[in-house]
Amino acid sequence: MTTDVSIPENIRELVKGVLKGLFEFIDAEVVPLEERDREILADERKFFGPDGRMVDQALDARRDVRMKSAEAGFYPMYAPEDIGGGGIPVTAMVFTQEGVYRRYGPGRPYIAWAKGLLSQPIVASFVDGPSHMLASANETMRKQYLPSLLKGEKTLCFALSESDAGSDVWSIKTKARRDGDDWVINGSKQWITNAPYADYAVVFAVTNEEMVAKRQGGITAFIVEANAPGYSMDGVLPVMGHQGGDCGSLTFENVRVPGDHMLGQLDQGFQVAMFGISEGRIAIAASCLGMSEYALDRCLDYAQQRVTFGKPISEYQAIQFMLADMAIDIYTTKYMVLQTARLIEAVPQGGRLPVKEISIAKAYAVETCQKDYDRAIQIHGGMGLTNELPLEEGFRIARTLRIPDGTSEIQRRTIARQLLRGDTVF
Amino acid sequence: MPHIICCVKQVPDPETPASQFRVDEAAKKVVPVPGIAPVPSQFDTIGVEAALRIKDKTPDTTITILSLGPESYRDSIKHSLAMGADEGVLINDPALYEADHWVTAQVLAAAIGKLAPFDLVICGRQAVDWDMGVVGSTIAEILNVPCITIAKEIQYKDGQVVVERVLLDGFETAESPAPCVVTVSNELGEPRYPQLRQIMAAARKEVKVWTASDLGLDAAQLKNLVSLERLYVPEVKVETEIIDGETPQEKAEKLALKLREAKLI
Ligand SMILES: Cc1cc2nc3c(=O)[nH]c(=O)nc-3n(C[C@H](O)[C@H](O)[C@H](O)COP(=O)(O)OP(=O)(O)OC[C@H]3O[C@@H](n4cnc5c(N)ncnc54)[C@H](O)[C@@H]3O)c2cc1C
Ligand SMILES: Cc1cc2nc3c(=O)[nH]c(=O)nc-3n(C[C@H](O)[C@H](O)[C@H](O)COP(=O)(O)OP(=O)(O)OC[C@H]3O[C@@H](n4cnc5c(N)ncnc54)[C@H](O)[C@@H]3O)c2cc1C
Repeated sequence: MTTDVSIPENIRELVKGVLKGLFEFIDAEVVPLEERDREILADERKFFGPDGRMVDQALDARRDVRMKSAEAGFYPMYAPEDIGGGGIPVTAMVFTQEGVYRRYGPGRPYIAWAKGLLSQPIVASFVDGPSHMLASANETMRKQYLPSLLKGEKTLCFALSESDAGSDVWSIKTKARRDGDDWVINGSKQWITNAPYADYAVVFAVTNEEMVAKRQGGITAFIVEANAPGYSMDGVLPVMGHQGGDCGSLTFENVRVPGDHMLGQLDQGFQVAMFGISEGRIAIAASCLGMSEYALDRCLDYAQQRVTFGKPISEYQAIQFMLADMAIDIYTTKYMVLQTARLIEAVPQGGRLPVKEISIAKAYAVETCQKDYDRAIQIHGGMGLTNELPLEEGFRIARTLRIPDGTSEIQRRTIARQLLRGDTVF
Repeated sequence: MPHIICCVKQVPDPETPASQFRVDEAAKKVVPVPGIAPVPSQFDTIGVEAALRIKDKTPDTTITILSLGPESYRDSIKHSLAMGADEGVLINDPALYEADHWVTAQVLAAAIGKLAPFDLVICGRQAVDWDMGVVGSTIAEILNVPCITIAKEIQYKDGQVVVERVLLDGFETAESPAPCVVTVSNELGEPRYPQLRQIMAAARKEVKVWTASDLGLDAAQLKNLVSLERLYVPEVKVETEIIDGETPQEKAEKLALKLREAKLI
């Protein structure tokens, strides 16, 4: 009767169950914390300290949410089962990310993206906690680091970009040299999400310059503890007008790490990085989809209430066209992201790696999300601009996301290269 | 091995914004709101919580979820399984979609008979859509077992059910030998939210589907006792009148007179 055919049958019950469970978890455990902390949540000058770091009250609340969510199994749910995660398939992730952002919207830092923070306390991603990327950890690393990461007690950061190496990953300068059984790391990283708060960093460093020069490897992913001598967090880099955030820079001065503190193989860190980044791209796309739906829902309510010149503005074609354009974006994004997720899931069964599709989905979802928030603000008139509604926050998030995890231009570069290599399958 | 059967009804989400709530007066039906999924009736989820609290203390308890309704009711059964219940049974028979409380209770009682032996049947004090509050006690009547209503706590030990009941002005403790029917109220406390592992297990778990004939019933013989005459959204009119007066005493006196005139005091 009310069968929701938009969810593929093999995951329908799982998706419905997870969404209902997550909503109940958030309503029972997170919303009361938001009410308790209303004062700091309403004012960034109270939410962030003068150094741009979240104040202790906010950090504690977010840790509390992570750990409770971990206890209920939601926090590491996208990580594979063999490292202790929930093993939720990518297609199901599309619906759960969509559902959370559609219901709660942007601007709620105890739940997900907000206030310039790109880590989500209710569920881990490759930039802060357990994810598929960690499946490449060796036994020792798994034993040493996974338990506290899975519990949400500790977090990590993904340190690849540098001031002179963003899009062009191959030009990173951070180096690791062998010293006996250890590695010694020198260099710096910039724009690293969660760096100001992380207990561990996955640091990408050059271990073989010749290989890097030929772009054939030579970069290794190391697991480094934030309290290691020589490791320093140089400061928060607030973005888009926020008073603080979770983006930061790191410096390594002769940071010594034991020989087995690696993800993946020596000189093969680039694969590890691309694994994490691809995982991130599809999750970003699904979350943007939910954010756009949240905006459309608010617009439909508002446009039918708001009266100008004696009529609800929903009766004006100018407004109707904006609503319709949002719907066109949402529908195309949804099925593009879902199809890409299906292709990703088919890879282990011998499917082709959907490189261009992942780039198409990431670029399209963030770009349309930004357009949709622009429309939503316009439909709300002056109210749309105020900090009272999370629409301006949604706009800022969507705008931000055109840069990390591959800029829109880099996605197009990837798409074009695939086309020119003969990948013209759609 | 105690066996508890929880009856769970699915209802339109009570959080549906009033602006989106519509009824089809000709069909005498509530129109489902697209995008807002129906939910298990709140008191029934509390009933599942009551059963799970017994299972927490007596882990070899089996909890069976029983629901009468169309295929979509499976969602509420799955939710209860995700909370920690063991088995689910859906009675799905198009001939029973229009069942009133009397037919519903007969069908549920027949299903409970088929699921016997059982120690305890838990129902919500009322379903949050129609608020009739009679199915639980009618089931007890048909099964010829005791019924304790409006529970805030249920304890089960050695064949004895001890229930703390909510009264208008306090609480009372009632005891009954098992098997019996207990209806629960929101004073029992917040139901737990499901955990990912149980959600995943619930998604894979099979729900048994029965029809009236599987229960040895002839749907044609089951006649509603209640018929719905008219379904409509009442119009609520609010009129405001400001009572004037020089002093608070004068205003109060005028207000009292008005209230008496309106036969409110
Ligand atoms: C909020 C935020 C969070 C981030 N989090 C992380 C993180 O957790 N970990 C991490 O390692 N990094 C992170 N980054 C870094 C991010 O990955 C880089 O900012 C991004 O890759 C772009 O690099 P860049 O800033 O150096 O810009 P550049 O690479 O210098 O690019 C500048 C401009 O040139 C364009 N461009 C560059 N090359 C080409 C080309 N070949 N063709 C066409 N156009 C091109 C770009 O699209 C862009 O418009 C984050 C960044 C931000 C803003
Ligand atoms: C930063 C800021 C500064 C301001 N400063 C001043 C000031 O100094 N003095 C002052 O008096 N006001 C000021 N305003 C108010 C400003 O003029 C109004 O916000 C503006 O006129 C829009 O009105 P509104 O916000 O009520 O939106 P609404 O009029 O409610 O419009 C909502 C949406 O409906 C659309 N719409 C409305 N009617 C129609 C129609 N007939 N056909 C098609 N579309 C329609 C609008 O374009 C908009 O997209 C300021 C507003 C802001 C945000």
